[in-house]
Amino acid sequence: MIPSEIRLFYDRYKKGLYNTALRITGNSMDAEEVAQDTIIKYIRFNTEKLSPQQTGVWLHRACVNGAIDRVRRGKALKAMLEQYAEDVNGTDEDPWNDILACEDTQSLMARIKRKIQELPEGYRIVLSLLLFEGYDYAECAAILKVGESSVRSQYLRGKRKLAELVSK
Amino acid sequence: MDNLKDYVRLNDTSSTDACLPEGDDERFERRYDAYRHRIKFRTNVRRRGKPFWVTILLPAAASLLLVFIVRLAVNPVAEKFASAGERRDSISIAYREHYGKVALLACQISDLTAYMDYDDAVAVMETMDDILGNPDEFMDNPYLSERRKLEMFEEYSRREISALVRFKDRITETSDKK
Repeated sequence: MIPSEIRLFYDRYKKGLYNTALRITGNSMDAEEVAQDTIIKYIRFNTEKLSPQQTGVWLHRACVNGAIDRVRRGKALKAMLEQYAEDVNGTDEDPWNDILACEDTQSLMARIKRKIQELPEGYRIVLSLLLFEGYDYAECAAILKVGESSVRSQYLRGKRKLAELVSK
Repeated sequence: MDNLKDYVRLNDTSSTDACLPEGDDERFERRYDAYRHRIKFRTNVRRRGKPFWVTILLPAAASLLLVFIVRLAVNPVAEKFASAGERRDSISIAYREHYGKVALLACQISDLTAYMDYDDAVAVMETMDDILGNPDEFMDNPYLSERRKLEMFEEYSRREISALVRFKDRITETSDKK
């Protein structure tokens, strides 16, 4: 039987952590496992009383790291991310200008979150970290242990691919 | 700033987030149970610590017991050394007292020979030398304890002083008669 305070804590943070992990892992079961392990890790190791803001930051960061580690298991993530490390031509017209101008906000956001799951893993992870988790290129590169140029090129390619999926 | 990034940051809400698959509470409970014995969850309720008797009384009692045992073991040895030292001091005191008295009596006897004939004076001094013995024979004996040496010396001193006093009194009587 779980103490009520722990159940409340879990209910409060589970959805946010699950979605963070889902965007990175692309797998529902893995995402749930990462989210729950993150909460249990917090309970086990955090003996200091953190403020709600500090708690949120800690959980979020731990969840991202846990999800990245989950993806790394058995996969050459670094090789995958560095596959497109060459410069990407930035002069092509951005397809998102039209997409963002037309759609209803809430439905577009929902569709973006759905379609991002259909992206290849490298694109999905980079876009999740940059768009939804609020990291910049340097932070993303540090988390993924790749060069910043790899992150930038993955983002541009992933963004273009996502635009194709959202436009369908 | 990137147009897509701006758009997402402005418009992302949890309302569009996916929900966990059904049954996640049960799965979390199972996962939590596996770690339960290692979990210490801080709440506003004061955490129960170890009882007072474990943290304070037990170590204090153990320390006192250790001190008591050490003193029991060390005290007989300390006493032995202390009493040996005291006995050595007693022998020294007895020595000083004895030879102080001997010196005094020797001076008194010597004064009494001032008006004697030379031969008589020499005879008196030789007799006094015969009375004064040498306690080194038993004081240097390594097989005697310090306590035994002190006892023997005190007896030796008593006899020697007594003999010197009797000799002095006899010389005094002899001088008076003359």
